[in-house]
Amino acid sequence: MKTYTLGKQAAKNLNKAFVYSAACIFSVIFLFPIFWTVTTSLKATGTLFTYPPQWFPHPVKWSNYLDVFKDVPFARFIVNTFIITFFSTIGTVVSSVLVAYGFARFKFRGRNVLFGIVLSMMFLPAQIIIIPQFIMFYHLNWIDTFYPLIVPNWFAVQAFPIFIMRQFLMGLPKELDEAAVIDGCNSFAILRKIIIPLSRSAILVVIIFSVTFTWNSLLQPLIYLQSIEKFTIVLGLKLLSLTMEGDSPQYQLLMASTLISIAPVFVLFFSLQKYFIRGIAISGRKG
Amino acid sequence: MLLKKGWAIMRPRYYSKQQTLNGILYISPWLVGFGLFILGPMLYSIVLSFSKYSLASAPKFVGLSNYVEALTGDDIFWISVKNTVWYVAFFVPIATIGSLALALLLNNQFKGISIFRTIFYLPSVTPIVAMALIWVWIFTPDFGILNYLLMKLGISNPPRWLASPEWSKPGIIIMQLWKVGGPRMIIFLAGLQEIPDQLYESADIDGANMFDKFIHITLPLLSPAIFLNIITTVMRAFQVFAISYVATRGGPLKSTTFYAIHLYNKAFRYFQLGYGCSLAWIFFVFLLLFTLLYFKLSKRWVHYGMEMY
Repeated sequence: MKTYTLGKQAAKNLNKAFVYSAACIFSVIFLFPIFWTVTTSLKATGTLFTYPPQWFPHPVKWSNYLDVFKDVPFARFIVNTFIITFFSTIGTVVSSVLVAYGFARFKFRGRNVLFGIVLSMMFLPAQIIIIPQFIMFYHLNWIDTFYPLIVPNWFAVQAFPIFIMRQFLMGLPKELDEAAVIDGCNSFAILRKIIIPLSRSAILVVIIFSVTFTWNSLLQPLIYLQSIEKFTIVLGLKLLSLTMEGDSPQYQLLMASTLISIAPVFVLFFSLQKYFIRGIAISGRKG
Repeated sequence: MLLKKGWAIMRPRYYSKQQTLNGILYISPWLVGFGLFILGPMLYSIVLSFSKYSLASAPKFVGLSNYVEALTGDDIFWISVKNTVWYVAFFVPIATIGSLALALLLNNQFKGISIFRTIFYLPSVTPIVAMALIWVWIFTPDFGILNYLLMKLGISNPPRWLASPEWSKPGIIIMQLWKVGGPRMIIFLAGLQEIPDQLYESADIDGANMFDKFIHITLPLLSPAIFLNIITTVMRAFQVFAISYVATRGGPLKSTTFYAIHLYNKAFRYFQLGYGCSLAWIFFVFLLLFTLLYFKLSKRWVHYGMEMY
């Protein structure tokens, strides 16, 4: 009997050792590209292509991060991205809260069919609407403006935020609303005074989704923004990668600007990690 | 209970006017947005797909010729179809199994688990264009760090990765696999954590080994999560665009010209907008049929709830 328990303990320890070492190996693999980006971004031109490669930059060239702003209007790209992300996100939050409230709290004919359409939009490939949308915005004279990137978000075109908000609102007890009705609140007052304060975490999930989505998007800005001073960071990176082709590509500058583009999303992720995870877990449970 | 539910369904539905008005009012942003930015454009693009149009002059009706051209006269169309199918066929299984493996790893209870979860997840919040540039640098054939490491490991003639038509697609798959610990893994992890411990405990009593438990408990109970992950991964994979657009620009020798790249080039580089719409509709109908088939077949292997135990 004793050998059995000992064996079990040993197996447990072995299992633990295996799990730990596997997790560590994977961590090294996942972190390596980021480490290498940081290293490269701090190298001097001459130390980029040495053999063997320098694992840690020597000398450390912090000024690369300033040089990024000299070659291309990178500060302009950052400002543009902030503007687009800010107004898109507000639009997405406002519209998805209203729409989700409508779907979650009111009964009307066709509601389930309409919500089914919302859900199916999550699978709609962008390619099917991007060309006619482009033509529409072209005729509105909106090409090379931020409008095509912002305005649709004010009309809840993103299905995922509606879905997340609606799932959350369905979970809020209806008795709260009913009590407020007795107090003489109309439906908008209920939304403003009761629902929204209780939905902070779901709203945060929507904000994170919208910010990362807008910040990272390539296709839409690529199609709609044409002059360099309107570019987003993502387009700026693409531009930089083109200007750096040739005999001596300046990878240290490219990696520095790449890190600048990543930094805000990483900060958001590290400070609100639990909400990143929660949004996904909610969408998975429904599956 | 059941009877009551049945009665609720039988009762004639009555919607109060106020409920209807309020409901429609609140969802009106979506109704307008859906009509203006989704349904309207989709209908318009059907019309355009039967036309020649390049913004310069009014659309000219040409019947089915765009579709005929795509399926019979456009070499790059079939190249892009092959590339895309190749990519989906390899990426989806590897990514699904990879995320599941990582989720199983993180489903163990030990100290520091949340740190590992953060590290695994981190790549997937990296903007895709940034990711592409980072990996272009890692993959550089002559000075890249990856080939340096491979040579250190004794591979004297490492692949030229994104610079060679044979290795460009595997290279792109490797890049995308960097994000294997992202949302997909979290969905698996959430699914794993909902499997009750008692099931494993009673299997232990019956003398089941780890493999048995995985096949007979974990996989069936995880099947809704697997179902969801596969369909979303497949949909994304069929639409692969940004990574190829930035890292390889469809090359070398068109080896990474995926369907979405071809469509983009036709529509926004050559401004063959009508032709682009026909490519989009071929794509859409294919994806729709694929999804319907997938949902139909899924009934055979996806188990909802615990009714089987």
